[in-house]
Amino acid sequence: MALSLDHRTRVALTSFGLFLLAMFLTAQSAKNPQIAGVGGAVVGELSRPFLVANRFIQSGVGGVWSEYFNLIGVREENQSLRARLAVLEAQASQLIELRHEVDQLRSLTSVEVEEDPKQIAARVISFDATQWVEAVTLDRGSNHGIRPGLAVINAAGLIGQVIESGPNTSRVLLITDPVSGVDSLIQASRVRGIVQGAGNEQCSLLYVERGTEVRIGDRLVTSGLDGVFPRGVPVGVVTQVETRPSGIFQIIDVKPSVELSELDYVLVLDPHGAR
Amino acid sequence: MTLRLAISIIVLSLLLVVIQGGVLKMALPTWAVPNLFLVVVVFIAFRVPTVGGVLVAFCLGLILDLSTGKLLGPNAGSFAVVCGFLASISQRLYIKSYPAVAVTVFFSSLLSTLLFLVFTYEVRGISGVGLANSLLEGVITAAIGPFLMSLMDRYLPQDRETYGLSRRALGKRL
Repeated sequence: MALSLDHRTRVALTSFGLFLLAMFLTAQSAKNPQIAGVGGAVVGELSRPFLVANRFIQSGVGGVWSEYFNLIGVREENQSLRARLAVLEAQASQLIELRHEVDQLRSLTSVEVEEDPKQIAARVISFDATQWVEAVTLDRGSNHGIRPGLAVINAAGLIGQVIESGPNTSRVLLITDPVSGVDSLIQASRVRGIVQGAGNEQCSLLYVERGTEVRIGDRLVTSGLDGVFPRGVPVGVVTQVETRPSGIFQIIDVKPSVELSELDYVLVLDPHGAR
Repeated sequence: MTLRLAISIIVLSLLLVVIQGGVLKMALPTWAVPNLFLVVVVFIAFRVPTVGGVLVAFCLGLILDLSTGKLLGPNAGSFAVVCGFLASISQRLYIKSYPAVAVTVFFSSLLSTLLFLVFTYEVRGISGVGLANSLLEGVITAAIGPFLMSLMDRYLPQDRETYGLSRRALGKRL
């Protein structure tokens, strides 16, 4: 039975009308981000039980693999880690001495010291369902003290920033998302720049002028000057430096310190809830 | 739209969000995750090629947009247009084999990506990495789309007559 032209026209007009509606919604949500933010929090709350259960199952399966099957090379890895631990313990001892010296100097000059921020532990329960946004969902929300604007880290370094929070879930924009920017310093040379997300678990260091020496392997840390991320948190490592004939800035690729595809437990830092 | 249908759409969307973001993306690399929403949209276009089908596709995209919490409308608009386009040509599209369904899903994915970029160009610009990922996502989605569509066709209630050869092709040939 052939479709009537009238029916196809109705379908086409409906599609066009919805296209215009979607354009309107896009414009409005771009001007007022809280519109989408509220909806995102609602979807997060509704899907939380399933995501937490899934995470529990995945951890169980992963645990069986790591504890019973993936034991090859454990002995060698153990010895390598013990050696590295010895080096780190020695470095930690030196850092303790340096900290003591800094505290003494501060007391002499009456410089104010930042208090350690409150740390809220949370677990990553899902990634963004689309491939255009680099974000994760945590299983903690405003009921646990998490609110938009807080920095998120783990033992390896900086992960991102909380962009919205519901009662029991929150969304974190990763540093690899193209709209993310982190004020950073090269640790050795103190050269400052902005680490912007480039997608595909990569970042770029922007606004570093030509002629400034930047080397592959340079480590980047947060500067603390943007008022969002605390100072000194590892951000990434320089992997490529390119200087083109034209343009005043270098093109620098950065690999994040954190393995963002394997996130599990994270810490959310609340500077106003000092410990 | 009845309350039962509205609830079904919301439940289906949440299930897809959980599977795509919580199961697949945590187990697979980003480039290997198929776009399940698009597969469902293509299925709806051939199974329910009506105004109602286009509205359902729009709602699916809207809930996907809500789950990202950033912009409302890009996925909703692109899914509505893709569904409407496929629905209007469904009678003339003779998809009788796996490759034909896969090609249809692939080009639907490309169209959806193009429309998404139209919506978001002013806000996010165009990223080369994003385009490359979209192409790869289209290939992966096209590879598994026909199997998913055949499963949906086999197990979903068939309480209305559908048009064209697409339903018969999906139900018996795959």
